[in-house]
Amino acid sequence: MPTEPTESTEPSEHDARDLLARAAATIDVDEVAPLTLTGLPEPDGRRWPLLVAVAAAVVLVLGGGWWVATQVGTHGGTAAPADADGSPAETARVYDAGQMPSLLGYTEGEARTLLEDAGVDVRVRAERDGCNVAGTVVGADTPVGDRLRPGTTVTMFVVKPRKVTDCVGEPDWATIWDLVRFARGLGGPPVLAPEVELSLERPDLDPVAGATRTRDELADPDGWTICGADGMCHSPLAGLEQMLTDPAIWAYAGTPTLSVSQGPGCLVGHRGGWFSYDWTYHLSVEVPVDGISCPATSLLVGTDDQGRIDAVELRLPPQGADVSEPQLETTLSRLSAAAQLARWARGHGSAPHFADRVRDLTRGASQAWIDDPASLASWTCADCALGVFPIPADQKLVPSAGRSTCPDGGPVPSDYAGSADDVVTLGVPEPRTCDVGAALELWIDQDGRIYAVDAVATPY
Amino acid sequence: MDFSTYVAQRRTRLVRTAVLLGCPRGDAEDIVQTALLRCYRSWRRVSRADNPDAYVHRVLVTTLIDARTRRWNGELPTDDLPEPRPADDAGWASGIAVRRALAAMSPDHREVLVLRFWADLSERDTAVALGVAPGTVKSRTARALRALAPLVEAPDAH
Repeated sequence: MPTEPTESTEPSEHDARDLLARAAATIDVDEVAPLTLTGLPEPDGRRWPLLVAVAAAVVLVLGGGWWVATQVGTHGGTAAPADADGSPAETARVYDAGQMPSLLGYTEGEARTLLEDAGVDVRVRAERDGCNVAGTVVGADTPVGDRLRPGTTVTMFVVKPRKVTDCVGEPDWATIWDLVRFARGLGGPPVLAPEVELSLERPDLDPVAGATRTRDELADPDGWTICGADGMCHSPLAGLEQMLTDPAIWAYAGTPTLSVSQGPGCLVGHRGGWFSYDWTYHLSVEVPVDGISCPATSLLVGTDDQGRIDAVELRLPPQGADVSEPQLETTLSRLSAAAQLARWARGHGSAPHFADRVRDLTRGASQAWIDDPASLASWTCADCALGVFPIPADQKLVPSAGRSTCPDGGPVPSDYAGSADDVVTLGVPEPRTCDVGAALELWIDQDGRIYAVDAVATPY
Repeated sequence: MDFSTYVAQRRTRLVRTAVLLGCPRGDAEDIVQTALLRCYRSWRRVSRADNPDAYVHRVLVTTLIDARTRRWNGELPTDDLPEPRPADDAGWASGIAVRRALAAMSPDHREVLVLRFWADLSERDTAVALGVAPGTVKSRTARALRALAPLVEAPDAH
């Protein structure tokens, strides 16, 4: 009979602290902090250009070639450098009069006029919510961008009042919709603190750009633009407008909704996840899908103790994270092995051929090797490949040649990186961003034997 | 707490945290500096949080992960432990033994032990720092503590 490890030998927390303190005492540290840390002025938000330069210099030294490569890639890619007029990289998607626009943030009356002018019949579905702003359009049944045919019917979802006891724990919808309407040019600025901290976060760009602006400066939408360390200009406000209007942001075509989470919500994304617990709201625009959806682009909003917006951060996916068509050829035996693995993992059919043991390259995997690959259980521990990317029963997955174009799988040891021809990636068909590009990379030899695996773009 | 005060109070401790988490000694000061500079840009917000430590450790952990994947090819060097001092320094010897034990365990277990019992983060703050659920911290801690069990008697055993 197998025996459990003896419980009685588990050290107390006191013992653990003592042991860790002993370990730490063996590490000599020069007590003097480097000048770059002690020489910094206290952050007051008004010295960004200087600070970004200082910090960028330090990161350049530390990050070495990687950072340089990223920057070169950025400038060599499709991203345009800052225009002379400093216009932001984010732009709204514009629809012509015969197309279904994104109605998020419109009032019922505004939306009705727009749709009736296009010749369609308008119906309203009431979204009863006593804490939201009555009369606001929060969705529709027609995908944004669809051709509006005169005589057809569009149903829009409109907030209608309902009696509620209180709205404790609910977001301050009035402020949120004011911000949305301001971003869309439908209304004046929302309630802002006297000074507002603006920032831009992109995982491949560090440090980020930031600036503190006054309420007066922000009354002008152009006042929201910050020109960042990547040589481009960005605007959280324009970013919000793009989020609200551009299906490329939503990962799926369809009818978007504004999603607002508070506190530590959607800790999903790139390189260990977003960190949002010190923000008031996390705004994203999503098309509802089954399962986890965390758009790569989102807006974080902070408020002060009076509920006034005092910080806004635009979070963008890394440059080049959009999924592109795989370029590599692959062989039929590799593709079939991958497809067979997907079936097997869902409980159908027999196991594909494996090498004697399979290297698990999944980031954070506690065991580097799957010793008994023909047993599904050895793939599914919490941090093993199929534990991290459980193959969903109802999600169509397609095998494609080459590694995933999403960055989250991270570098793999050179032996594996050099064998890119062996790789087949099992992922969702035509993912539009890496957040739905969760995938399983499989290294398969020419005989169709799977010898390594890597779960990528994994929700945390 | 202003940024300078925080750096003055915590930097040394953070460097040790980084090393215990598996960062090579020679890189630890750079890693901590990078992490602190990342925190600096949002310090106003960070310092408003109840406990800036959770945020700072979160940044430190992700900075380490980035460095690990980018610079150390996913493998953590574990052979840079200092030479044992003469045997009369029992505290030193047991400290080295603990570091060897940490180096031998999985990153998950090492992280919870270091953050909970050296960095003194609560379970909840450790969860924030690691981006996992508090329950996960609890279960990992219980399992990780067992790996330290053989070392508990060591101070009295010599």
